[in-house]
Amino acid sequence: MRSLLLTSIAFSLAVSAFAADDYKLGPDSEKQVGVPQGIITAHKWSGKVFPGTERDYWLYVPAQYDGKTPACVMVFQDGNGYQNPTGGFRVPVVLDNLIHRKEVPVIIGIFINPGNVPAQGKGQGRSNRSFEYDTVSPQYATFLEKEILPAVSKDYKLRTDAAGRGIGGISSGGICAFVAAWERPDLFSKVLSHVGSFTNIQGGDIIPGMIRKTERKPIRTWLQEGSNDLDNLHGSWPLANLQMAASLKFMKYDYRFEFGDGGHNGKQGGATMPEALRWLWKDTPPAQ
Amino acid sequence: MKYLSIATLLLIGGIACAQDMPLSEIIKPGEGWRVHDGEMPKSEPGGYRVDAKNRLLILDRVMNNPGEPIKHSLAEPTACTVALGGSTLLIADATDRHVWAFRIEKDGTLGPGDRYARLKVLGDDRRKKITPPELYKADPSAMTMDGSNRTYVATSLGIQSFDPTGRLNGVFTAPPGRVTELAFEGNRMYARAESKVYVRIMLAEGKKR
Repeated sequence: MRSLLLTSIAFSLAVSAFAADDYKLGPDSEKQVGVPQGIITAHKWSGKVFPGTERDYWLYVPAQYDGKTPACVMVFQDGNGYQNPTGGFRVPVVLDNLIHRKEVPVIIGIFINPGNVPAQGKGQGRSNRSFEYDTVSPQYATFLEKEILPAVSKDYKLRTDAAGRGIGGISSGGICAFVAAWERPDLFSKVLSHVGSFTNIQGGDIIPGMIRKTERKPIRTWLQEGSNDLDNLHGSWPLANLQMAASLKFMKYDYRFEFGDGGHNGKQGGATMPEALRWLWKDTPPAQ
Repeated sequence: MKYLSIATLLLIGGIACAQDMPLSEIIKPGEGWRVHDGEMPKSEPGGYRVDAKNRLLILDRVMNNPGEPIKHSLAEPTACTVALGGSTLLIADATDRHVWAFRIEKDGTLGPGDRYARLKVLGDDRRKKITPPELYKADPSAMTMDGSNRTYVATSLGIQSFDPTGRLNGVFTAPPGRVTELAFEGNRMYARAESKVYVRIMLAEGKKR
């Protein structure tokens, strides 16, 4: 029995040591001939929910948006990385392809960077990322509800029902996405988390326990994690995501857990983006 | 593929690097507090203080206007320090268990503020009914910064260290008694508690003066 245990540990270590993490983008993440391309525009925001902060955000509007039918909405934290059409995630390109084939509904993407409080005189600006993303509170959802979504709605018709809204992010942006939907399931029903920080950065390690002891909420969740993710003072990312998956399973949530061999990066998340979006947006009912 | 890797690194680099400021980089193994024969190092420049009533912030150097009320209605401000190279004033609020961050405007007044770092307390929210109320008080009583923009707050639990984005690095032992002053000089941290001055050799270093 002891030798079996040692062999198992040795095998696990060997797998970790030689993790491939060689995820590659597929054709759905490449521009395709004959597929109409949406438009990406850049914007700036300084609001009141996070006082003093300034941030960039980008809007992706698909070519199929007709200005009459309210479009579904997908919000991404650390938006710059997700909106980049030549980056690791290429969400606009993926949406172009999937919307064109009607594999997902017409979705407007909102890609938001975390806030920064710029210095007024001497010294450095203050990044507000950890406070906005890692804190287990409804404040980020309130920021979206009161500031960003109304601002975008001035120019575009957006779905206002949770069934037509999703939210996603990487690392702290991943836990932020889950907490936004958890706190406000009336706003968001779909969560995309890449290597989510369900660890004790600002107390987020309590979430798996909360899931188990709270009446199930109408949230569909895609969790992606890698066995070689971070293990540091805040916790173990692989173990935290395993706990999340176990809790979602225990409470019979609609979830997918993609556990690969990568580290704290967006490689697997980028490679699986088309499948994640297809799965999250399947069976989306029409606007009420 | 090369560009994908570069883009991935650009996205994740900042995120991953900021994750790791463990106590092992801050405190020196085998070192502890010992009584210091001299005085505390001189206070770092900044000129911001919380007065004895724990209600008002005195902007004694910049505004020459003692008694300026703290914006954003902090209930029980107890300690403060200037952070991020002079752009930000951090103030601990004993009541809501947070350190708050306020932007320092060009004229020295305080701009918008928000919670910045959450102080750890002994009490466990899940056992509130059977836990004495005092265990939920962090009692932040003194604060200072090091040269890497880490914040140190003396609390009832010990000295809590936070990284530049307000995330807890860890808690280490405070000298005996309630700490009323904290300061760095070189690789030494000084603390005043119960009329004594203590010193501890650290791996972290103070701001260059």
